[in-house]
Amino acid sequence: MKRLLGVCTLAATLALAGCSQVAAVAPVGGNHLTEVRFATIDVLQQKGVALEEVPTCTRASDGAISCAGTTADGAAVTAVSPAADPDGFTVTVGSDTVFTGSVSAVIDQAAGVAP
Amino acid sequence: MTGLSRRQFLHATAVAAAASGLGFDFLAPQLARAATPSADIPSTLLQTIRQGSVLSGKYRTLTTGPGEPYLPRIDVLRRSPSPARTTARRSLLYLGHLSDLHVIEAQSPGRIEPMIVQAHSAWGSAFHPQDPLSPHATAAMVQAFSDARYSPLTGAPMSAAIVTGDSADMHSHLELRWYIDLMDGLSVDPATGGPEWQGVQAWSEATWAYRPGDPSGGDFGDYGFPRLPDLLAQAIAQPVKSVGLPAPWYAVYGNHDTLLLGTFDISPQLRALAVGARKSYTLDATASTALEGWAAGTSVLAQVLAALGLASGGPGFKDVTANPERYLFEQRDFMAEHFRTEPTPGPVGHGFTAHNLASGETWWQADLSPRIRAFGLDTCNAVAGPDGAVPESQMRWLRAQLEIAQRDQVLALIFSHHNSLTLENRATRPGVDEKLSGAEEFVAMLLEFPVVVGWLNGHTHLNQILAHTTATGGFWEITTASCIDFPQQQQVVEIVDNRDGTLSLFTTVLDHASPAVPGNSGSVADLAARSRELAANDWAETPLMRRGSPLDRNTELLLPAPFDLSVITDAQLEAQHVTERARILAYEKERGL
Repeated sequence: MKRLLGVCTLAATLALAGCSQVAAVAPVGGNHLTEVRFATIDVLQQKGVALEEVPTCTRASDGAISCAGTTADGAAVTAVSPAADPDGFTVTVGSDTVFTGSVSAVIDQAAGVAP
Repeated sequence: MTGLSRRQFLHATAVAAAASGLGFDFLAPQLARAATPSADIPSTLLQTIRQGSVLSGKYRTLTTGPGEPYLPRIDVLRRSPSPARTTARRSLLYLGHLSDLHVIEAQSPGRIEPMIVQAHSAWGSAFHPQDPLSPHATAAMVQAFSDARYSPLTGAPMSAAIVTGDSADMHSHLELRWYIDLMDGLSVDPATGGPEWQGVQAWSEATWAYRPGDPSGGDFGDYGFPRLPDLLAQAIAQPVKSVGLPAPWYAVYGNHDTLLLGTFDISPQLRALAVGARKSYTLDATASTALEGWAAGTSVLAQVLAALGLASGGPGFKDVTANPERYLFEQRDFMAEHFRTEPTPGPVGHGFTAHNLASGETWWQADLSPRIRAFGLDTCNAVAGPDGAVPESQMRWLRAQLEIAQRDQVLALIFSHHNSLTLENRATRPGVDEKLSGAEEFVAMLLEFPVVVGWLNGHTHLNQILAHTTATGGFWEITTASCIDFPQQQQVVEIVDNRDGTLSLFTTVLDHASPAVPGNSGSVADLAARSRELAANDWAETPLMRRGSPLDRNTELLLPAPFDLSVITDAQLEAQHVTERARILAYEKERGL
């Protein structure tokens, strides 16, 4: 890589000139999306949920993240992280909400950070 | 040996003895021993590195944690695998996967570190607190691959290694040489400017930087980065020795091997700066230098800097020792330099061939074994931007080659720098109309060929494994972390035949060979350990998420075998392993391992 995240706004501004070269100076996509995916899997692993399809995630135009997968016994797994609160996310398995909380807290805990 | 007859074994050993330069009498008993996995091969199966307690402010140390076992994933197979596979499996290929080494010559005046003053999170890759320790971390990573030269799963010898791009950080010829030499097992001398460190991390005026002699007065000091007055001197005190990779290694382009900082085209001003005797330590000086001659230029970097209002110029340079070896290389030089290499582990060119040099084509194929073929792509955009795409010329070529592989029942591995989340950059030069395919089209094409079992890549500096599926199968996309950002991990990948109509790709994450807690000896291992600790605290790089989830690290990735794998006979496989083990025995003997 790497990313030039903060150049995003700038690139968008310059892209108005119609220059495809400048428009390409955009961030490497996926940090929020990737963080939500990692945190979702961390939660499912901690809860011992066996998976057939490990959740994959997509980003809506407003920046919201949605993830979907399936458990080994066929139940749907979903996770959502709203654009308005990118550090918040909710994980459901079937009709049960199994986790609501902070993306960064889950990632920090998984990395071994002491509370 | 179970696959080879005695006569076949003796013949294979004689051939291996001739190829390796080892005596037949030495080699035969070594090769006759069955390959058994050793329980003490260092990897994250045995031990992980976790974030530890607070040292000062927000700065945390690292500590060790328990190892992580392989976790099976059935996204592609879509059924429970047979438990019997664990005793039936045989190794088809054991492969090292390195990526995003970002070898850095931190004293170079061709760097643009002060850009982090404009926006740290945006320009975080322009400056890392651990930059001076990059060659040490890389050498320690090579040591980790040496330590894991036999598979921790099956005991199979390492067949090959692939470096999926971003090897030289700032397009410096010195960085390019260092990377190749470290892979080859040569020493590199980081004292590029003389016996004293010359650079922003030694200059008190650069309060925005992590200055290990006195971190106070800037963001890094406020965060709690430690005072390490000997660190910079230790970083250049002695040549960095590398043990070298234990298997033939291959390489593809990354965006940093194509554009400046992986993103911008390279101006004449920057070329001059890189080999000059002035190094900037302020944002204004960096910007004004980059903008010199801007009015006549079309550089994307110049346009970006102009839009940021950084054209004012001003003082902000210090004298440094000029070094002509710091010149910024041309795109073709990246290939050409891979021909200046040691005969072992080879191969000369590291995937690139004379055809590449003559034609300018930056992609290649190579047979890693008689039934496993690698395709090394160049997904980098040579115009602008960090992300990539697949040009139509490579799409056509790859399709034709995959048709051959499908016909001939050869498993295919795809190597590229960019991953499926970062193939969307369609920047083109005016007047150039070659189609650039994004991830959707590229993945769809790969899915047409069941012989494609894996796509190994990097770019995003994190561990991530994605499944790409069809109604009946699919392939695995494996992204490895980098050697510069935390967790500074790479991986080994092993393809095994489960002898039940399924394949497994085992991924094993490697930490570089250094302690979790750095000492102050100045050794390569201690400096590499310090690099990892500093990286773990480089908040602008969101370090902790880059570890990935457990299902992105040590995994068993199952998929249906695309053809009857019994066409690969045990005898053929044993002959392959004899050759590979002989090569590693020669490597061990040469290095006294």
